[in-house]
Amino acid sequence: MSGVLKTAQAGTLESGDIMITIASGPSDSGIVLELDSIVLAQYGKAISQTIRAVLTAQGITDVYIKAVDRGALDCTIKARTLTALGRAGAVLKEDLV
Amino acid sequence: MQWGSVEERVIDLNNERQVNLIRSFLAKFNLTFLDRVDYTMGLFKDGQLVGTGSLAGEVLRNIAIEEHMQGEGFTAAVVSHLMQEAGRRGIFHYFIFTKPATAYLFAALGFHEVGRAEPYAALLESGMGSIDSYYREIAVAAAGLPPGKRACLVVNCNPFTLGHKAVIAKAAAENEGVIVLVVSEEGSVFPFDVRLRLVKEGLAEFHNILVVPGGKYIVSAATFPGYFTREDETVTAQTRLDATIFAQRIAPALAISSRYIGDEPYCPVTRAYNAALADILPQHGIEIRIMERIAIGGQPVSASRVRSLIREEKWDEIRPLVPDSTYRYLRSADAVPIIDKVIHNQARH
Repeated sequence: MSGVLKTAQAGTLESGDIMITIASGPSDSGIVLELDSIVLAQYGKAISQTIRAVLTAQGITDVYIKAVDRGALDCTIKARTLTALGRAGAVLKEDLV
Repeated sequence: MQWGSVEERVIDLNNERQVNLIRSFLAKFNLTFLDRVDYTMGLFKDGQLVGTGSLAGEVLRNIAIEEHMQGEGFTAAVVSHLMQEAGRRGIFHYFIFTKPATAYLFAALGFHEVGRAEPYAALLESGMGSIDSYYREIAVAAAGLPPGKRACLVVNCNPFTLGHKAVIAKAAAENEGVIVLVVSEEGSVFPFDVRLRLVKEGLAEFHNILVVPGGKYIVSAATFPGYFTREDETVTAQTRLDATIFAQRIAPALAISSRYIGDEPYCPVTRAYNAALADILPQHGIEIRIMERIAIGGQPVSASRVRSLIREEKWDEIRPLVPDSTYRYLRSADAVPIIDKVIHNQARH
């Protein structure tokens, strides 16, 4: 499921954090991720994978995600992504329990 | 980092004492506090104001941090705060206007440069959508134009007259294709959707003209700084930045080889803009064509002349100055509230 998401945001631009903005994309666009990071060269791939893994686990497709990373840890990245999804109106798996 | 003692507070814009605090703080940085902001926040340490930032539409402005506290992440805190506030207002695209020397501070926060006019100003953006994606969309629409030489005009058309039509028709005759960008900003008596519609209707007979909204990147609130430069520099900064963005970003994206502009005998701001275009565009290989205004009844046709005739309610004299489509609109019931505004509004545009 994905449904139509509202545009939503979570996180900040402070050091050690990541700001995630999420909007619904055109159908069949898949997950379009745009990542900016101060450690793009070192961890760009790992950050993308973490974000994509959260989306896939939640069954989200056809979204546009903009992420501005300031050296966030994996747990922060997951938390910010989930919060942005929640604010966008996605029904998270945990909520269904 | 001294976060423990720093707090973020919302400034009450109706409270004169709080506004004066911000105003005198900004004065230390040679920044002027504009009244036309929607939201202002302050960073306070031990009760002292040490940083501030404001939001005006989607423009983040008046960002300043006390000098001895710079380099500790306070800019990131101010920018984050403003972006979150923008988000609450449904805004997810942001501009920052700054001096070229400080642009790198915001680049580290994920902002991308739209353009710069050394040494006056740089414009950066972040969030959803970008200059590239906007003009890529217009380029798709422009693919329907005949191949070959392509000219561009940027027009406000407040409202559309035979003067505009004559200049655009000349461009259409001298080029295979013409793109008309209608200024999207709501700063004129005639609202954007009306101006756009009248331009489209007035040019419907041409097969090689594409009329599209100009977007946020040309003659817009974002490309009009005004607040951090001294007055005489404001116009230079704005016009040179706007011209540079057109030359470096818009023209290449839309395969534009020349830009037509009307000559401007009256308005000093438009004249300065034309001078900046004539200086900057040729440096980027874009030809500039300055067109004389056509005259009807011994006087040049201009939108401002039409507006002053509306004020005098001389409909017979307006009739020969505008296309049928514009005249029909002006006499329609839809136009009544706008005509009323024109009559009671003496503003330049």
